[in-house]
Amino acid sequence: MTLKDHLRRADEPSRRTFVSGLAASLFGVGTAPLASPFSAALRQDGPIPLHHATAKRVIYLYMSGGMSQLDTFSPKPGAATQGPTESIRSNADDVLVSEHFPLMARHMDKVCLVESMTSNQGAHTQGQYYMHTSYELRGTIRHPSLGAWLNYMAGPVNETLPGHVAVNSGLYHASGGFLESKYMPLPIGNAGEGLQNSSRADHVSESVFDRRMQRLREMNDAFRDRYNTKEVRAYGDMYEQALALMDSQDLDAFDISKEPQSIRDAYGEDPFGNGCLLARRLIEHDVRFVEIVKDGWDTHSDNFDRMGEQCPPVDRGLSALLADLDARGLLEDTLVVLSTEFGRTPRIDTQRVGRDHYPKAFTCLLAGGGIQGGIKYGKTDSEGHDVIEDLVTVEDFNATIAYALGLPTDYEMYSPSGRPFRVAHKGIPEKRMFA
Amino acid sequence: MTLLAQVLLSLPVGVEAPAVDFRAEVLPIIKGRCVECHQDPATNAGKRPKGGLRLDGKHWITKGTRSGPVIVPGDPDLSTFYELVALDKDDPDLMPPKSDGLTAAEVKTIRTWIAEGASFGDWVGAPGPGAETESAPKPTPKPSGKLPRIVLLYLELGEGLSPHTEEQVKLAEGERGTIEPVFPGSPLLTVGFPSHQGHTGTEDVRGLLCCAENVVTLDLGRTRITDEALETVANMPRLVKLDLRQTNITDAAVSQLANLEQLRSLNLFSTGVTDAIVETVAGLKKLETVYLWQTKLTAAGVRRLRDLRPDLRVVHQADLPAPERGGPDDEDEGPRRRRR
Repeated sequence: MTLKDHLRRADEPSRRTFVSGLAASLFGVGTAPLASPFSAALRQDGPIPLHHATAKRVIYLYMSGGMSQLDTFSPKPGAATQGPTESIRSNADDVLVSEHFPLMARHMDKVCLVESMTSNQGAHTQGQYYMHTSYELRGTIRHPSLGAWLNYMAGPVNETLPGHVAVNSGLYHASGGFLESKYMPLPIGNAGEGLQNSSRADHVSESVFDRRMQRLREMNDAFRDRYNTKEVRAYGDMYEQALALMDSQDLDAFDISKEPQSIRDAYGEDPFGNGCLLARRLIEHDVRFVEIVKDGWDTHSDNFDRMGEQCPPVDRGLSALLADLDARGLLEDTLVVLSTEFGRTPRIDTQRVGRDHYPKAFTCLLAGGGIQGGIKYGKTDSEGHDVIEDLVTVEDFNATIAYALGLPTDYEMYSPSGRPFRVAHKGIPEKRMFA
Repeated sequence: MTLLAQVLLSLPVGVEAPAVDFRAEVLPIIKGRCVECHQDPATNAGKRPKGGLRLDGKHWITKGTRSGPVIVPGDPDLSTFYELVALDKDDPDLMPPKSDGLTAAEVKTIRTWIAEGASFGDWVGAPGPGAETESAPKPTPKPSGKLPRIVLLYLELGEGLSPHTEEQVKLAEGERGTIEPVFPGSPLLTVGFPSHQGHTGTEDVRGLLCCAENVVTLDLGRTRITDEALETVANMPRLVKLDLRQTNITDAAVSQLANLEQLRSLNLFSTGVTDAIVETVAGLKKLETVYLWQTKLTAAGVRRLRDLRPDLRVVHQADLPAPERGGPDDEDEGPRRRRR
């Protein structure tokens, strides 16, 4: 979005925000001033620039099912809770990783390991929802996830590509929530196949196609003029976005077969590796937020055998991604996040040789985008049961991502029912994670 | 009279409302509607308080739940305690549960009480735990962070600089550019052509001349610029970050950058530059990182650059994972240990 657009938007609170703000103050349920989209940015006093972005884009790798922290990035060698997973040294001082991450061991100097994550949600659906939105799942509302917030607050960078893309994503992962449909992620099922149905059908000539779209617009405009609501506009926006995408010179970004074989091999040609490569291509074209989901982490049984299957594609895809972004100079302003809904119990279930859900103390990763590399943030006790230093809540974690992106965490957006929401709810950015 | 008018007339004027007295107005609501489920297990047949929240004492109300305080004094909208009693009547999360909730007047009393600072007056209620009952180790409090290094630099560089006017920005943006301040209120600008990379040429860069003093980051990656575009860039004394990746520029472009005293990051990934740029790059005193992967620099050139500037991070290759080795005996190699 350009500066002009920012200024234009600053003068024009949307009709809905105005109405909901008015309703709130009339009926005594809100003493907040009428909301204007940029009131938070304008409300700042003093010269301290809290909202400088250190990252422009996000690649969000989501480990669905609850990734075991002890068997991946936070091993506790020698502890009774460690089990048979061994640990290896990495290229960062004092940072060990599990034996399943020999490739990532060469790249931990780029990573801030957040070892003191804590959530209050111990079930998958609720945990995934909370991690993505910073709000607890409720029956009456759907909250937007981070990618939708980013595009809503900061606008798209590349105006012809969607600003929010999600690969292999589920219902409780990335979502536009109560925002207009244009903030919903563009779903991609299989990264290797790219974007399906994005070109004009062969039997429809360009002129015929243009005529049809023109006719459609004429019909829609009349309807839109009469029923000018967010929902109606959203349908029109969807067509226009799709058309812009079809015409975009950047459509190639979705096609990973354009990459040399050596690069495909480096990332690994499995769904996760392909997803990481697609994500790199998309952010090169300034797509704001790309989420890749890797599932299968719910290791209640056979935890240790299954780590040998789960970890290698992540080890390869993530290390290729970090190395490739770094060599292209893109890691400076691209934030790579690896997160999960919760960790797994330090205690090993000896019957099933598994680990169960454990939201109390688990591990997420941040890299690039102004984050300091080669460090561990937070600390748990010697067996990994409790956080003993620098507790990071899910909301704090998301506030940190928002801070990196320059999004004011005190900015309030009103839902259609007039309730105020913030990008990371009550989260406070962990500023010490930044370089 | 219309409904709206009735509502308007019946509204109390917020600032003149008398302060809420906790003991007289709020405590009866809490005692009558909340404490039954939110009290000390010792007074409730050993039943643990619902949601881990006790509301039978000042200490406990202030403490909130495991996820943090439920009351933010002065801000009812951020207070879960208020949020949950103010939900719609059909919301499954409404408190107290299995009822129609509090009356509108009670909800309003709580709202006002929190808005006024949530004072308990002299009421204490059930006392908090003594030091002897402290169990789990308490996380140490978070020290506040400092501003990111780059923000401090931008504050310094922006000192005394007059902000751009809207006209200047509009002119400079032209048809393809996107220009934004590095943060709200800063005179410094970040510039790119993200929606039109493939159509952006040297002409578009020339348009930036009127803002040249203010530009700190310039992304020309993947555009169609030629070496001449760098004549304009050479006039950007505060440029901190320059991205020329995947363009057709040559050594001649880099030779024009010698006076960019503030340059920290120079991206020449996948361009045609050769060993001839080594001296110019080494002369950029504040440069911290230069990206040279997929260029024509030789190993000797890279070595010379490193010798001249040991402090400079020279990225000339990607540390990509080697392709996976196939073969049936793969399983036996490496440190992986399997559980029987």
